[in-house]
Amino acid sequence: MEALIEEPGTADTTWESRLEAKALIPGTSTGVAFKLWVGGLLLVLLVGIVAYVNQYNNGLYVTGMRDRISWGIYIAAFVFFAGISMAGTLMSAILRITRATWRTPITRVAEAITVMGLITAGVFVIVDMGQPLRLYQMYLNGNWQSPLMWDMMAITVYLTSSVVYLLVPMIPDLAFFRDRLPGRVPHVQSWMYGTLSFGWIENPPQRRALAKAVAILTVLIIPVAVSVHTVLSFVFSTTVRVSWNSTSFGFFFVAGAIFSGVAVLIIVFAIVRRRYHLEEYITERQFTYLGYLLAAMSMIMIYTNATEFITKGFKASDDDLFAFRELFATKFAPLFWFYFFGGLVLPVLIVAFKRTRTITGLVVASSFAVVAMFIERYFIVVAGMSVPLMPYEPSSYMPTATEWAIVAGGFALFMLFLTLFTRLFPIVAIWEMKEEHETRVEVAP
Amino acid sequence: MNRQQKSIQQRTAHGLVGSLILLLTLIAALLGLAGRVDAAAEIEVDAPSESTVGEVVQISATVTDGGTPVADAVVTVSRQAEIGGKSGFVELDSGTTDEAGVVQLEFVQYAAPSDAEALQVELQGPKGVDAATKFEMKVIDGPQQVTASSGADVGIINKYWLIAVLCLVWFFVIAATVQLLVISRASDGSTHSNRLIPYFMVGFVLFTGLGMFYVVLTQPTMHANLAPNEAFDRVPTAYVGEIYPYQGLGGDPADRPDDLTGEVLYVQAGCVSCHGINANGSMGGELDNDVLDDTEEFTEAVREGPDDMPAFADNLLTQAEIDRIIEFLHETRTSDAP
Repeated sequence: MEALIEEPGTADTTWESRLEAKALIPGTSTGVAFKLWVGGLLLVLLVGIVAYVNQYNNGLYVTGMRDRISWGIYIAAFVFFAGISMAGTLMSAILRITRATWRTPITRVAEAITVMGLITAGVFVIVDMGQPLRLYQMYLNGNWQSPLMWDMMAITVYLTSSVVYLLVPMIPDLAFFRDRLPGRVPHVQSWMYGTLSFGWIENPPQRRALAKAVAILTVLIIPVAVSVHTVLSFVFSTTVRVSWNSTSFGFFFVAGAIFSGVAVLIIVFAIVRRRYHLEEYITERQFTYLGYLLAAMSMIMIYTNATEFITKGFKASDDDLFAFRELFATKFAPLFWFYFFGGLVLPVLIVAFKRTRTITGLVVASSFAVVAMFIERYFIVVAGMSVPLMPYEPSSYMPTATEWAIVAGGFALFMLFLTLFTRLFPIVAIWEMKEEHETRVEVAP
Repeated sequence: MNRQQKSIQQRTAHGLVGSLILLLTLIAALLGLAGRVDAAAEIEVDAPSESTVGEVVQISATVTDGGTPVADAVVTVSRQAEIGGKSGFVELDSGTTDEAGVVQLEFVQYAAPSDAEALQVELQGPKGVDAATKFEMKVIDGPQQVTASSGADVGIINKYWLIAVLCLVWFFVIAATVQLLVISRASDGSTHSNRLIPYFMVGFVLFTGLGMFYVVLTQPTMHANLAPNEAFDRVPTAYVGEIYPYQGLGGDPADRPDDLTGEVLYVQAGCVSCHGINANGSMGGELDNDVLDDTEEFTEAVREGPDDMPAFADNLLTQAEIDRIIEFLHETRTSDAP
């Protein structure tokens, strides 16, 4: 496959040409493994769709959700994927603003994760709705004083701006693909590069417009992302439920979102790096920095858990004690302690020691963190719902096969989106890397 | 024979025990009555003759026993009320008399407006009510019985803050998207790119953003805890004991389209809720052909509302509409028949 992209005149080994050659690999290569991977994902997605059709026809009765526990694994998945979408903002916008040069090889994938994560999150809201066609009612008869409406507003802004934020800095790279790939890829694909590069010929007005758009979005997207995760927490904390009566939920959700986002980034980078042979650009340095970030967020998460439980435990109302008992000792105890030790303490330990602070070690730590964060979302939703509001028997909830199948389908959808993205779009920000390389060379002597 | 003898003995014993219990009960009842007669306590009530709903009613009662004031007596004031078909007295306030035998009682008037609300002041003795004085009070319609007390009505906190935030955010999103248009237009045309796509994208972003404004601008303030407004007051609460007049389909029958089928009327006028989808009856009676055949009697029942059924006067259902309902029911019942 690599032979394909070596053109007679450019077969030299300068840094730039090597980067260009590497960047073009994903756009042109399809191996058996790739096809198997995509086929497998499609299969899982299909199972999810079949399960959804079943749910659509028979109603939400096929789920484990009932009157007392009316939110389940769908809402947990929604919060989880919305949380993952924080990754792009953090990696891309915050590091771009601070001109952290080590981010350039990894921003594009982070931005893509934001968009894909948000779309998947939206899918879960619709799945949870029962009758998806009612979505238009949010526009026609929505109540602007409802936190659900604020959530929709925040997510709409975030999704729109992150799509634009993904697209704008990609224009020069798409133009590069447009110029270099015709004839080697299907016609539709080169038409797409042509269309999405908006006639980029890198003249001064275009450069100015690009810089302007990137500047606006970089600044805009940080408060928007924070608002998305705080407003998402309002959906819980404005609801009369014992475990959700918290003023620090916004902070808690933002911290959790960054934590799970970083963890997902580490895993995706490790896969992309190996799959597309980007070892030269996504180096151990990036992983180490991301690892530090993971450990820092992990400790912040331990702290936010402490603030959450200390403020409630200090007062220890009967309801809080019931919630604590379920969470720490009985029903949700295995989940909670796995989350705490496996998902929060373990990553810190892995990053702390040089011996374990390897790429493999970080992937292991991140995997634990991702699983733990899904579990956290699950018990925030379900354990919160299971505290009785009136003296009735505490209810219980267990996701049914339909729910598991749909959640698995959701994960497959997210991975499929990401796979297709890395396959079709420039996954490294070539122009930004070149720019950064030039300044570094200039500064060096 | 032995068994029969035993049986007779048993019966005699039962009879004796029964008589004894009856006797004891009678004696106890007589003693009780005597006790009441003994306590010749009297309550004199000084209460206003009328009160307004929502108002605090103050009454004073003086307890005397043969002309001497009774101190430290527990006195209650109750209202006759009917809840769930049961009638009885509901305690409103209680107090203890002072040395002059006087007690001040007060309660908030929650009763439905009426000309003569039945009230009673009772002297509570160790074994029950020792004395009672009944009196009546006129209740005048007043402000709503329960009004929303929660809700911070801060005028400057309104939807325009949200609009301002939306304006700010979407301005930047659109400003950034417009740059795509600038990039596209600055091209020299040497590349093959569709010039309409950026316009489409800007349009899409604009449309999405405007949708958010639409929601905020078109929807009224509905959350009573946030800036309650006149248009969206809390649901008025019914007065205790008041039976709301049945509203029927609502509006003047003359304004109603006259092509509503019997089926629609049967459902919308509310017949279905008691008589069932197939008129098989549940809370209301079954509307079988026997009932339906006597059109005159049926119409009269609808107009007057026997038992607990609401009366459907001319202003609720026209004669033609009743006829159509009867026609529909006839058809339903006939098609149901095996």
